Amino acid sequence: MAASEPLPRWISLRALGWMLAQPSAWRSYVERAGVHVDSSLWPWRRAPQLRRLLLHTLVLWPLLWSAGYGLVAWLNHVVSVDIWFGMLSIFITSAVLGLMLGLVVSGSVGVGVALIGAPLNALMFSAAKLLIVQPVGPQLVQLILGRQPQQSQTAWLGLALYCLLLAFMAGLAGQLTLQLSAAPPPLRPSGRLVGAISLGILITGGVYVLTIGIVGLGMLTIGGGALLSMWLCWPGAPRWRTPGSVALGLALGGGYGMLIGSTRAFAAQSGSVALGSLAACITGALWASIFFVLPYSIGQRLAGTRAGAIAGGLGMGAMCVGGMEVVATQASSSPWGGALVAASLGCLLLGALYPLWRPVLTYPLQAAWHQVLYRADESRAVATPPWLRWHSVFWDAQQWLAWPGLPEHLVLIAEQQPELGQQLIEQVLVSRQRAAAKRAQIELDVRQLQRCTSVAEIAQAHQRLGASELAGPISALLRSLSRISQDVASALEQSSSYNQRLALTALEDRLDGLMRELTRSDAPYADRCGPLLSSWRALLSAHSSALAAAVQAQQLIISPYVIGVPLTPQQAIFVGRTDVSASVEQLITSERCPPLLIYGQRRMGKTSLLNNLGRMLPSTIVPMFVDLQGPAAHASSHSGFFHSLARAMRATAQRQRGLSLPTIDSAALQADAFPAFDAWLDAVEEQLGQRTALLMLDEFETLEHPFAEQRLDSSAVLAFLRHLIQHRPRFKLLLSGSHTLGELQRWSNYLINVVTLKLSYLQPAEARQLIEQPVPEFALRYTADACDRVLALTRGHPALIQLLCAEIVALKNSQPAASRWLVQPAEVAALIPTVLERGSFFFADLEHNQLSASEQALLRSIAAAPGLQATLATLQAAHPAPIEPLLRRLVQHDILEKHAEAYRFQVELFRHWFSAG
Amino acid sequence: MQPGMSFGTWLKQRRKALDLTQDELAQRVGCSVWTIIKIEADARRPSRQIAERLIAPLEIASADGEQFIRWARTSDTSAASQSAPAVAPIATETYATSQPFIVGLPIQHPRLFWGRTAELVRIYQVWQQPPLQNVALIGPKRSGKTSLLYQLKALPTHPPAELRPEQRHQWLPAAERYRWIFVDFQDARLLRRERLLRYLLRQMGLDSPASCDIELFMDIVADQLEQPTLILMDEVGSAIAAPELDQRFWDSLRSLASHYVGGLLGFALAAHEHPAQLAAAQSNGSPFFNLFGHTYHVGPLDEHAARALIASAPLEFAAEDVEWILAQSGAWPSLVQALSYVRLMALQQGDHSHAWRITALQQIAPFRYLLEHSHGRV
Repeated sequence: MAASEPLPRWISLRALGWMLAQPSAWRSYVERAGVHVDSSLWPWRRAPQLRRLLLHTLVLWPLLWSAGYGLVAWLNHVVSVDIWFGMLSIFITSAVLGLMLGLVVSGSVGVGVALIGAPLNALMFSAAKLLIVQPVGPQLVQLILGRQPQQSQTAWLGLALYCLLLAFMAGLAGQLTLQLSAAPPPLRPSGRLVGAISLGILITGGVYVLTIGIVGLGMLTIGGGALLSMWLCWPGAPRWRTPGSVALGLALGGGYGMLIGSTRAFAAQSGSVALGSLAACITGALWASIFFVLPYSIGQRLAGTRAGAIAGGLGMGAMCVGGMEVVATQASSSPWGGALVAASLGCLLLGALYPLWRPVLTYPLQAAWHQVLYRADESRAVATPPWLRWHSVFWDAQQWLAWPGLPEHLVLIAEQQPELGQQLIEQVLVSRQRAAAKRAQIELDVRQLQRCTSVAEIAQAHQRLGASELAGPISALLRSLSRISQDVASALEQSSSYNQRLALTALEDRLDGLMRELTRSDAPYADRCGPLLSSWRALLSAHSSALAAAVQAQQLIISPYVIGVPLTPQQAIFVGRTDVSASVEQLITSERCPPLLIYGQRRMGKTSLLNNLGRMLPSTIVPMFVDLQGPAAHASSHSGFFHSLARAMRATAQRQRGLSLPTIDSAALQADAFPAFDAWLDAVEEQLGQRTALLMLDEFETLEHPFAEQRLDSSAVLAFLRHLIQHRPRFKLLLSGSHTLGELQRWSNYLINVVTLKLSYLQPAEARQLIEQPVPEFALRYTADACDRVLALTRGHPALIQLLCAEIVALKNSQPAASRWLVQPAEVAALIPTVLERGSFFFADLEHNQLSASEQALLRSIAAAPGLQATLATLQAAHPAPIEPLLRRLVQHDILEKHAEAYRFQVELFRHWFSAG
Repeated sequence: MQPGMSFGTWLKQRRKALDLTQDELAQRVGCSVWTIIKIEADARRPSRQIAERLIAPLEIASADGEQFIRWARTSDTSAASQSAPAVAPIATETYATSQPFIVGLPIQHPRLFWGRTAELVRIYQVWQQPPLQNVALIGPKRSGKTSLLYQLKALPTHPPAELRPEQRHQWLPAAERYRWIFVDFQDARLLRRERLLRYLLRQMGLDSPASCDIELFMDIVADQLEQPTLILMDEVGSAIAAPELDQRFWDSLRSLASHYVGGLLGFALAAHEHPAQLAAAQSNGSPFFNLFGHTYHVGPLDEHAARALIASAPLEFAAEDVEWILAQSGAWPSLVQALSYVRLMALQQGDHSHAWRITALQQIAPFRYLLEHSHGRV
């Protein structure tokens, strides 16, 4: 705090509020004044604000409260000497406790103890006086004891009250030490900690025994020793350990000791109860301080602030309990001795636990206050500062109970003044009422999203969402919506309307998915977010349609070709294959459907076909796709295999038909895989109802690896598949791969009557569609010869058409606009080397992974042969080894074909690869 | 990091740059979300323990660790400028315009990268929307594959102000939506399967469990991946030879990319061997490499780009020198860089003789094998 910063009015009251409810504000106040919060009172003299606060706390405040007591006592006709001694007691007790703790523990703790101690002292004295002097007191004692009290009994009741007060202060001082210190390291139970606390208390006990033992010097040494120990333990001020300071300590301590001694002597001589009570009070204050600061200093040095606070609290508490024991012994005639000791323990606990019970105590009052604030804010003019700022959340950091109306209040303010509301929410986010801020933020976000009335607004919505960083299901939904909003933004940034529509359509699907999830959810927010999702979906769909309507001539041709990765139903580029899908449908719906095998070369589009079958088949057929190159074939056991199978089946059924299949019981699967999977299939069948499941095992031959490595038992797995076909009419089996069953003996042994559907080159019409009209509004045109040229080079092989056509699009895009839109045959031919380079992984895989060395050599001969074909005789002349089986295999695998007694490549691009290699 | 920034503000920015939520960061650090919130609000300083545990999730280089901890523990705005470690949210390499030529190292700063525009256009085109298609860059050592991979990652999001005036900057719509993960397989740590998987998960901003096998990896990515993500794999040859990256690993990657992430995961690889050799090397023949439908042979620059690279020197080279550099380098970018570097050094020292050519030829002698490579199939 700058020196010029004005001192808050009622600073001591405000400080009291901070101590009790908002320790962090206190810490920052002290730090801003330029003093470390853990420092002792000594450096406070340098900061004028703190100096003044000190004066208030240690002088004015105790004076004020002792005057208050004086007034109460005078009104109750207490004799004046009692009033004066009582006032003196209150003043000295509060000031001495505050000063001692302030000097040794920290200024903060000293101020806290003095601030809270002064009113409590006054209260205690008033109560004691009422008990002793007023008729109500003896009456009360009579009620408790059942007989008329004697003078001594009322006196010990006063003393007992004093002990209770000190016990409470002990707990409070310990707690304040924890609350007000900068950032004590976390408390972890350890031998060092327990040792430090025990040692602190033990040494204090020793000092007690020693001083009591030396009775004569007792009173003098108590004070002097205490202050001397205070100087020596005082951390951070070694320059004060000078002979002068020790002398000063001794002098002050001696002075105080003499005050105690003389007071006690006078009291003993005169027999004045009031003087005796004053002597007890000033002695008690000193002892209480010593019993706190000594164990505190030892504990703090050995194991840190927390240990010190506990040791101090326990030390001072033990003294009070001990004092109470003495009081109880004095009043041995009373049956209340044990109860008084217990009560002092209770007070100790009460003091230590005040952050727990104080919030509960004040909760109803605060809650009523918040209602008033809310009403005031409802009718407030927007330009004025909100009443919300007076809400407990901003000044009561200890309140651990939730404030029910706070989220609504935050939303109210944020709707009136968004920026201010956001600031307040962020403040609440770092408080204990974080949940309220979170709820408010979510509510604001949902309202924000609901206000989107156009796609552009949806695209911007993510910038204003605040709750997406929070955890929880609604936040997950908001995060998804935020991502969708970002994706809408990026879709709108797409340069081509085709790509925009593609992206928006995918987003519509994602919204559909979210809506389905929400329909199944019974979470409370489902009702709020459902209409929001459907309104977003409608906006996106309308925008897509508008784009479709306004198709513009594109400057550049966008290549729609997808090379290397299988096509999913989202890609419009998938063409043809209606013949195969019709056959599949016909076979599946037939009475006794045999297992099907879709067989074709690698990259012929088998997986793309399987991905798209769901779209092409009626909805009563539920596709369940399993990629056997995925986790299933790598399972180390049957349970892992079936687990992967079930998971993949569930995922496709959900994705393609929105059908939620049950989850498989993992434990049962671990115990015995086959019966467990069988039981799961029962459950799936039940879910299917009248529908038929089409189990599609892609790349089925991959299972040969686990069979060969005996990770899976081939006969058991294949027998299971056979069983499935024979005994589960709701399940149809479709295998897909680049081998026929004839090549894989063990499969054909188990799966009989398999109908093989060969997936070969695209039909010419389909191929032309892929070349000339792969997607609607495709701008590039081919001359008839150019299209024929593409067909001749690729023979309708879908992957090769895409490879070649993608290069054609790239070439045309590099040309001037005038010649960009029409493909000439010569351009197609010139692209052959580029196509071979671009697709070299594909060609190399064919060459190196699917063909033997002798087959490669044979193909090279045919590729280089004149007339692009070679007769058996010519080949035999060049290759001495028997080549007929090789040629048969090459024909069978669609590499070669026989044409008028000669062999030639089926696909011209393959020939180019082998001729170039 | 800006001087004067508080630790809390810096932490918030860094966390957002890494696309972590407060909850996720708290989970990784092993503290309560409160702690993170308070630290970010500068309401408290992290303990030493928490500062240490922040290092990994915030991707602070281990060399900067101690300095980071010191800064975190003592941070206030006045200390930031003095002791803040040099961990910028996104690593930006500085470049010196007085020496634009880089010898022996891959080019990271886009401003110093020349040519390859046609390839870049084609590659970014297949990454504009899902399914992200896969790209292979094949070329001999020192042909510039790694530099090209770096550019693929850097170009779309690089601030236009730091590019050359004529350099194209809008390569991908909504480029900030993409995640780019550079995997250098020359880093032996990344040849350990589990380490690699956890690295990938962290880079994707997904949950990275303490122990991760390939199934768990697939589950996490399949469930959580929402952003288009490109994995750029340098020196794939080393990965294929690594025993822990077996067929199962590659098969699973293929399956994941093909079937479980809606086309949001794509790969670019760089290798100095031809795909045929790669395929032969993996005797198990994983079909992973079949995913790569776009292969580019990284060859010499076109003449225009090579001349532009030479002309980027702050001192003008004589026309005769330019022609000599072009002829000797065959327009291979690494050779052009090395020759131009020597020429520039000589010019800066006031040497106008031809003596520099001897040094220059010595400099490129180990890499002259490049000149024997043709652009086409090897």
